[in-house]
Amino acid sequence: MKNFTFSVFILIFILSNAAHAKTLLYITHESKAKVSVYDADSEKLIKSISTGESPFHLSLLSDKKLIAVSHKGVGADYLKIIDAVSGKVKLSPSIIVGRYKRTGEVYLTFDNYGRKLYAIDNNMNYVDIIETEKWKLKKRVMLGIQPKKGIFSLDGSTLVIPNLNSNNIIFLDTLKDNISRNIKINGQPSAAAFSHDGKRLFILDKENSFLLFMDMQSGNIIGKAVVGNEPVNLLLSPDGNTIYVANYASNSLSVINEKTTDVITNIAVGIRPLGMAVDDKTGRLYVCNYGEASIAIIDIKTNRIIRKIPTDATPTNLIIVRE
Amino acid sequence: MQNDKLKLKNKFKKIIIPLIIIITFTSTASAKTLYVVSQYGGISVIDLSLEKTVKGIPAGRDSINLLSDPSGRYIVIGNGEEAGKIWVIDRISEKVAAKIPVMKGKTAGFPFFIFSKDGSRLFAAARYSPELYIIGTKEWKVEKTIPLKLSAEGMDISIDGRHLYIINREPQNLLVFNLEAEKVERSTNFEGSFASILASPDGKLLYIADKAESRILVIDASTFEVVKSAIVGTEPVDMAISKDGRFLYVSCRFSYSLVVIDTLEMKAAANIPVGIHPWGVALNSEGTEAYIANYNENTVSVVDAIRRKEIYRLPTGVFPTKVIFVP
Repeated sequence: MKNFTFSVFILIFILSNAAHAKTLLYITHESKAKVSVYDADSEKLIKSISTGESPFHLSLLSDKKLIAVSHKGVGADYLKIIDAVSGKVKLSPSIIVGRYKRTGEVYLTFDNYGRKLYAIDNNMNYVDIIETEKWKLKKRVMLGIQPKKGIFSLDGSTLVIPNLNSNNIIFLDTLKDNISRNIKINGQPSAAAFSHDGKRLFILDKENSFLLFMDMQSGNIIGKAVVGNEPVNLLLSPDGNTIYVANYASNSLSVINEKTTDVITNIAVGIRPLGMAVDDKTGRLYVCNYGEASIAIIDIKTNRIIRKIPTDATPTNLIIVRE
Repeated sequence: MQNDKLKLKNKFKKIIIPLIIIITFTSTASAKTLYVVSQYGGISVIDLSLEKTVKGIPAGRDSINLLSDPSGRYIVIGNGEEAGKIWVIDRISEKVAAKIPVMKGKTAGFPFFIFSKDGSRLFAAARYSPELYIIGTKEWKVEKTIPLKLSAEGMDISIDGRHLYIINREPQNLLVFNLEAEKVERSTNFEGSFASILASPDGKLLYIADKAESRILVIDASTFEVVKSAIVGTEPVDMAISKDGRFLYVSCRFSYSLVVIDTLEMKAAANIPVGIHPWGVALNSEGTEAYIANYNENTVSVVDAIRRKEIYRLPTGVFPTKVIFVP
């Protein structure tokens, strides 16, 4: 009987633990040489991981539970790989030969199969294509001037890269890793995202404060919405119907209807909003307020701020990881 | 030889002198002046052709608002001076023509005023004063003090000059005041947090800036119902409209921008980054330039309204609040 009760206890313990698989937020702090890890449910800091100087962007290799972190600044480590389970730095691949010491913002994106990591350096104006088996540099492709974060098409065959200061969007065929298309933009493209059906590309124009709607087939701009000062990042709601734009110099989010191009609301999110991630299970949008050391949590049903979690200085980018 | 000189003299008289007169005249005619009132620093007089401040006029303590009379001769300032919360400045002599003793014993600041269409009367209210003041502009004397329950956040006058529109904070409503009957004709409550009100040039619509929801409400001036709204930036504060009513310019205090709304679609057409905490907005006569007082930066932004870009900024007094353009 005693044994039975004990077994039941153990079983309940295991089940309850399994039912409460943790959702974690990994946040880079550019000025602090660390990545902080928050429990999304309790909203508490559970870990701080020392990485290289000026950690900037991160990307999750989900099936291997590995997180790639880029760094910027003079003498900064280029890339570190964190084990998402242990929360420890697992690898410091020294893949870069002949780099300048000064690195720019490096944006990281894994391909759909997790075989390649695309690291776009906005100071060196190229993308390093790194194979994830041995973390070796496979190819380097020159891009436009000040390339920003790359995004994959639905089928993973194309990586789309906005180039801020050469005013163009580059399409990289990821089978051959060659540039397959180049579209001029009247403005400064700072970020892009695909519509859920893949037929339209949403592009932020930082110079003119617009969200542009591009038809993928023709490459024509078919609509636009006015956003705030210096739009730098955008994200779609899990249902694909709403676009959230972070206006870095207006300290706000513009919320836009994806179909009508109408601006639905304006959210005074915090100082210098930058990185964003949405939890498709809870419908919570997390926004890094780079200038005020907080993460704003927004309920995307109501588009209201639920609360802000105070963090260490300069929260820059974040990703959501399920344990 | 003598003859030649005479000819030249005549030529000079006939051509050069009129030319000089024409040039002088056109340059005076195109002299464009901006008046910027600053909370701590009086009025800056900016010559737009020189792109610089040419004069400073004392405006009392805690000056918040200013307005030009319909003739352009006088400038009215609202300030926190106990001996007269409204000052009138004669633009020709550049001297204080009158100090009007209104809102005695009331907390300083935030006066709102508007002239009657013929300029014979000035209507004034303030955020912390429940009364409406009617001032005769001949002698700048208070003719009437009408007790109302005001907590004004802004006012405008109807196109026919018969009604005043006053928005209030507590409760959040829009009062329509009949100037002939001297009575409140209508009171409509709205959700939101109002910052300013502006009538469209054709008088058919009223625009109200709502800080709470970062939007501009469009109200039908015959039914007083909200017919449309447009999202702008964070905390819209002041508005100016082009003469044809097509474009509405909205300063958004906490998103540091001027939003241009196309009133045909009632949708934002452009977002123009300006200075820190923009407040007062004004347009030039042709609607080709917009001027924005950047409160926490002590500057005024000059915006090309056609290209929709800021062209330059000029320094002002400390904490500029409102700006007016005088041709």
